[in-house]
Amino acid sequence: MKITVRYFASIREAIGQGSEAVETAATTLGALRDELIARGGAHASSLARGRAVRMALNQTLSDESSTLADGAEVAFFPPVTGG
Amino acid sequence: MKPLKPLDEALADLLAQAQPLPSTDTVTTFDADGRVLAQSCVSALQVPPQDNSSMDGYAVRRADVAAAGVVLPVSQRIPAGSAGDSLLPGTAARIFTGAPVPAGADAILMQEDCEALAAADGLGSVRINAVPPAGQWIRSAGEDITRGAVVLSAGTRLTPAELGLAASIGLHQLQVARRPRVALFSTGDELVMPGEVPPEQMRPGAIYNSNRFFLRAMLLRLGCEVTDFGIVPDRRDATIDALRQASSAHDLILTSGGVSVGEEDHIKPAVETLGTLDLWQIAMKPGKPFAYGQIPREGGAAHFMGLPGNPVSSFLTFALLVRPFVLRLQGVQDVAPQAVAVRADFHWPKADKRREFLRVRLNAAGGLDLFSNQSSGVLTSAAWGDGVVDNPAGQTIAPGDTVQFIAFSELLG
Repeated sequence: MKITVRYFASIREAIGQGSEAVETAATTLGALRDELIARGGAHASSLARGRAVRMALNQTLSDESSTLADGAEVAFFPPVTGG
Repeated sequence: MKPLKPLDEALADLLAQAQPLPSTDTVTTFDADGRVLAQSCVSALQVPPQDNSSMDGYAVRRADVAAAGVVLPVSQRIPAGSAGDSLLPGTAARIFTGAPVPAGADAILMQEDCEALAAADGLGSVRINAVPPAGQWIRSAGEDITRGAVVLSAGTRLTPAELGLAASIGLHQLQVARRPRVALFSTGDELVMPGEVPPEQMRPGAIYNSNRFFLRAMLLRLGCEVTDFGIVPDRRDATIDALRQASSAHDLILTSGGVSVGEEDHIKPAVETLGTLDLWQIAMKPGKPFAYGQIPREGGAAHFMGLPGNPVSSFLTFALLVRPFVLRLQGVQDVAPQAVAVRADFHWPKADKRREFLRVRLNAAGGLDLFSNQSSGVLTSAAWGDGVVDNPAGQTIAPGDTVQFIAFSELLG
């Protein structure tokens, strides 16, 4: 299926683009993230598992288990955790 | 032109919109510094757990010490961490600081008031050289904390002392408010990020983006998670899209600049396209322009706040309006900064029609000195100062006057 992936803030700066159309077999947000990490390069470093990345599915904050559907819009945000 | 909105009214209007975040986190007590308690901490035990001695000395029954000079055999020795036996009538117990007071004893004599008399075997005896009042040098069970007492109430912002207090009643984890998620945007074509262009190559009219640095730092200190979106895109549709995405994943969208009347910017129309926006003119100086709005999203709305672009205005508007709001989101009730009365050691001869916040520093004589340039747009005055004088509209200040001082620790922490 075909979805749109959006990158924001420092993730967009690292990857060098704000959005891309992605053909994916992933059925969940977490699986999509893994697919993008597997590309290596800036995708791997910005979306790496050790990093706190927030995800929105169709403009609703969502977690990794959320189910993807054709035409979905997924956004990745980089939170800077306080403490 | 609309009349200026009093600062207190602006704050009350904002706080009326600040519903505490519904979800909570459970964190270890080690990691709870700066977080806000979501649930009161109730003590399941009493502290101290039993009556104990606050001195090294001897535990006695007062009935056995009718007069100074009495000699009593020492029947037991009770170090801290051990439990003694019931005190035999007519004897004393050697006892140490923190050790439990044996049953039957009703006073402790510090060892300076006693004279140990050696014996060939056993614990010997002791001459008691003072008549103790009832309960002398005994810390009563529950004196610090009674069982069932609310030791820390919900809404408390935790500091190191409170972590220790929670630990002292056996709590290894605490339920705290979720961190507010804040999306930070900057506006302004003139802004350049430090590091991108060296100072000697800055084009005319360009300035470094300083607001992004202090706003992020202040948000982190308040326990927020911050997503820094950088400079707002230079097209309206891209701005709308960024704001819509940000609203889905954040509780508060904060912008710096772009909210003044007549300012060329597309953040205002973008927010209005997505939700609602009110532009306020607040009767405060530095400061004045401020925007509050909401962007609807699934299950509610994200808050939008627009700060002025001038760094000093932005800094103080954040401290006086955004900070209380962010604390209230976490469930803090008392969000007003504490002002104290201090002597002014300076002249402020020209009154303003707005309420002013003058950057000042405490001097060694206990008075306040004024930073020389109060009109500067850069943060020299705030970096130099210890806080601000909250000066009512229309008020001049002469040396010796008592003024209301708000320390930066009340505004930034």
